[in-house]
Amino acid sequence: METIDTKQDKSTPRVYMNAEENQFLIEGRSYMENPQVFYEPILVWMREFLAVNQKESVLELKIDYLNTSSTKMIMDLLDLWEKYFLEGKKLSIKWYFDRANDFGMETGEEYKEDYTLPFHLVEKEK
Amino acid sequence: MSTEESASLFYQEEELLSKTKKLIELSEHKENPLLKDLQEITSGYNSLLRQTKKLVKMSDSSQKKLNDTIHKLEETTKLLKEEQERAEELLLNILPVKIAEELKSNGYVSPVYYDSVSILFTDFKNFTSTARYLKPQQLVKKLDLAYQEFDEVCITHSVEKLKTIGDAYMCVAGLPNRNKTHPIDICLVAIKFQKVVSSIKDILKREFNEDFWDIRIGIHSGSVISGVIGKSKFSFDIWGDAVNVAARLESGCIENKINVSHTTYEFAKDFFDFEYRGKFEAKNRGSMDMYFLNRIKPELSEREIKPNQKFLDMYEEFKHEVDQ
Repeated sequence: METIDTKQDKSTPRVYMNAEENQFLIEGRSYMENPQVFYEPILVWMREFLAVNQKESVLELKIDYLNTSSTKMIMDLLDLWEKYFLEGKKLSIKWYFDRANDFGMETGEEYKEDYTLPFHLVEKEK
Repeated sequence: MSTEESASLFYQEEELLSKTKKLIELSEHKENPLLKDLQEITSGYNSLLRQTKKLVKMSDSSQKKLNDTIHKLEETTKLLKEEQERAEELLLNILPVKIAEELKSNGYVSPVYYDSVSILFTDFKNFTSTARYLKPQQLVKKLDLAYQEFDEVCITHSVEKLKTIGDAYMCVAGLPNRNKTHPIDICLVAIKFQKVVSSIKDILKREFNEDFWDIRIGIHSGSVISGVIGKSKFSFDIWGDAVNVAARLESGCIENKINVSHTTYEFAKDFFDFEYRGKFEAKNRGSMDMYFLNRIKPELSEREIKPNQKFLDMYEEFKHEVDQ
């Protein structure tokens, strides 16, 4: 599968999805004008990957800020991981937060409430 | 919006979902493909409702945070504005408004040449000798009695106080805003200074049996260069030969009199009574005529020191005449 590697800017997070290395990362802030256009290819990629993946995989989220539409797109992504986890795949989430940023921490806690797959809240190293 | 409110917000949707689930459960046609479709739709609807509720909750929480941040920002902006106003007020206390504005917008003040301004120096006779036996606090308090009043007089006549050095007080008329009436303005200020000192003297003698110093005032009109010197504790000052002449007129004055140069006299002679004193030697200038400024002309004043309507009319006319 082709690797996704996008550059981070002030309103777009860095997305790194590499099936070969088994690395899946979203990092930064997400408040672009049209999150659907941005996240849809990632969801398509993820659907294809999860359908065939047999390894134990971790989705790393290092998100400082999400606007409402991006929150929905991340929710769709997490729903997808939850779906395959419920089907028996070894999947988990690592949500990184900075203690100085209330938003990051609370958003992680909110997401965690809704899923049964292992969802780890990890404090970022300073 | 609280969680409870979100819950009630989706009450109808919850009810619809629960009724549909019950209908499927109670249905006798379990194998009907239509019922299977309904089951799938219900499951999708359930998931959609869960996402929507969560989104509303998270979005409301973000919005609350955003509003709190805006509120904090507004408070900070308010405090910042107050601080800025305080700093500006301080700046205006030490620099003339026009100069302070220039300093704020450019970070520096360019020297400006003025071809005609009027400079006034005062000093108290025997100040240095009495300073020896007065306590420093008493000395400053006494000096401040006069200086506070002098400052008020300067403000009234749009005259710029420049500085005090010990018992010497220096002010200038005709800058930073140029005007033609500066010799008249400065003479009015000098007469009021004289009055201030004589009132303080009377009160101190009557109430506390204390003496106050005699004042000497020197005035000259001429060209100067103004500017701001220093990087901190800014000081707005003027330089030029005219400043030295005014200082020389003050030191050559006798107590409780106002010593004026010929230049100032020429500008102001129609408004005030002067008395020719003779000549004095000014550094680099040779001998110059000097005059005592005695009072506003009787026909132009009320109670000696207050200009009457005729004075004010002439003053307006003077402004106009010189402008032509």
